[in-house]
Amino acid sequence: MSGLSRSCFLFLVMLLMPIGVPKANAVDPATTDQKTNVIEEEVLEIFNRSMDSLAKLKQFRVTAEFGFDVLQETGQKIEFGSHQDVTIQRPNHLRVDFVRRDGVNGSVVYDGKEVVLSHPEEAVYAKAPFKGEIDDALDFLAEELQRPIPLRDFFVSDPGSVLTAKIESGIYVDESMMAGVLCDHLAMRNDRVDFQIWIPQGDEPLPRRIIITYKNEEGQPQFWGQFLEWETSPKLSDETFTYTPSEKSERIPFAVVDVEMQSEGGQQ
Amino acid sequence: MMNRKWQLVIAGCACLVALLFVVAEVEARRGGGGGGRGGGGRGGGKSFSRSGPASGGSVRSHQAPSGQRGGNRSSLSDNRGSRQDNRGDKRGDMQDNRGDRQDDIQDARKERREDWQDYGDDVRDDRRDWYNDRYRYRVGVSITYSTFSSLSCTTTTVNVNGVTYYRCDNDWYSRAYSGGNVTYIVVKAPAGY
Repeated sequence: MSGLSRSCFLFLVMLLMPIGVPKANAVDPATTDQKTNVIEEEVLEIFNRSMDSLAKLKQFRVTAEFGFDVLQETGQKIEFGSHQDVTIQRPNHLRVDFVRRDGVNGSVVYDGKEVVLSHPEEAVYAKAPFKGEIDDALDFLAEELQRPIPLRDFFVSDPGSVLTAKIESGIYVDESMMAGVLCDHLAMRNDRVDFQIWIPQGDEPLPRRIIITYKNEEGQPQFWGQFLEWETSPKLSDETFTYTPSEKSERIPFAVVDVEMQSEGGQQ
Repeated sequence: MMNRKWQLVIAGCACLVALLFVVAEVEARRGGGGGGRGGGGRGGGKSFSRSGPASGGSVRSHQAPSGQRGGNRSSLSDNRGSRQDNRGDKRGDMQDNRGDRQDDIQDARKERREDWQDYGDDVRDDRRDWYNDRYRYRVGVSITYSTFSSLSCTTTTVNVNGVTYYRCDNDWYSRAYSGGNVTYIVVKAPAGY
């Protein structure tokens, strides 16, 4: 009898142990970080080295895969995503070719004078005059044309300052193998997002992966981006940044949705 | 004898806890399966919202929630000249103190928003110019291809001056980019129709 009692007691202790331990671990470090705003020096060194090597590139092409959560009205989060090739020639040439998971493909081309969006499946394109550097063009795309380029923080002239702006915490998580490459896994926070980044150790510290958690948004959706290949000396020509519409292509405008017009019934 | 009672109580608790683990595990697996099905065929895509705060893929918060986009676009309609000036200033600040770039952007945007509130009349005048703007078209609403193709009418297509128009009963539609997607917008009847 006493044997059975002892084994029951041990069984209960074993069951309760895994509940108690992770709870304590999950709460304490987060609370400590928020209070002390720890930004580890080593983290900034690794991060700045990576971002500086990216900022130094006068031209590059990077292939990436990304996905993001979209919170539905039902409360369920559904992931969508895309494959994206980005070609940069500083200071003012940009090309993005993408294939979304739903099969929609297209491109965004900026040659320093015009921004052109094209959609070959429907044989349409739209263009807007714009002058400025890549940083400005990325803002113009996001704000005015409502077509933000995912992962654009890495394509600006100074990615380090954009990604570390108002940073509150930066911690070194661990060494981590990412697609066969040994990386440093870093975790950072600002007041709007938490993000994790994987940076290869060695001579070419161009980032491999990022996960952004929009912690203040409903459902705390995440975005992840995996950089599959960095070409630091791509062969580029004027054609790379020129959009030539086919004979069948039709130019269409950008629709600017207006709240006042919505209330008037949606028509001009 | 007391021992036996306690043994029963402890065994009961242990069974309950074990059961909770099993239920949690099953729920977790169900959740994963549901996500997989959600990404299914094209036909099922109609009812899903496909963009949100995380779709922009940036640590900056440029993208507005879809419900507020119209409002944001309105605030961006102020004088384009001053916008370019702002950008010039921003670049200078970036060189001086790159760490402050984010603050500058936010300040510039805040100022633009205040300008918009103060000079609403001027902005409304600017908006009228949009009708003559070659690349933008002001609309109350734009609809996706899925919604357009599910309209209960037989559409006829005409091409006038290189622009394709779609007639659906008494309404005329044309295509335009909205949020990076090709959408259908209600337009005036083309000349001659």
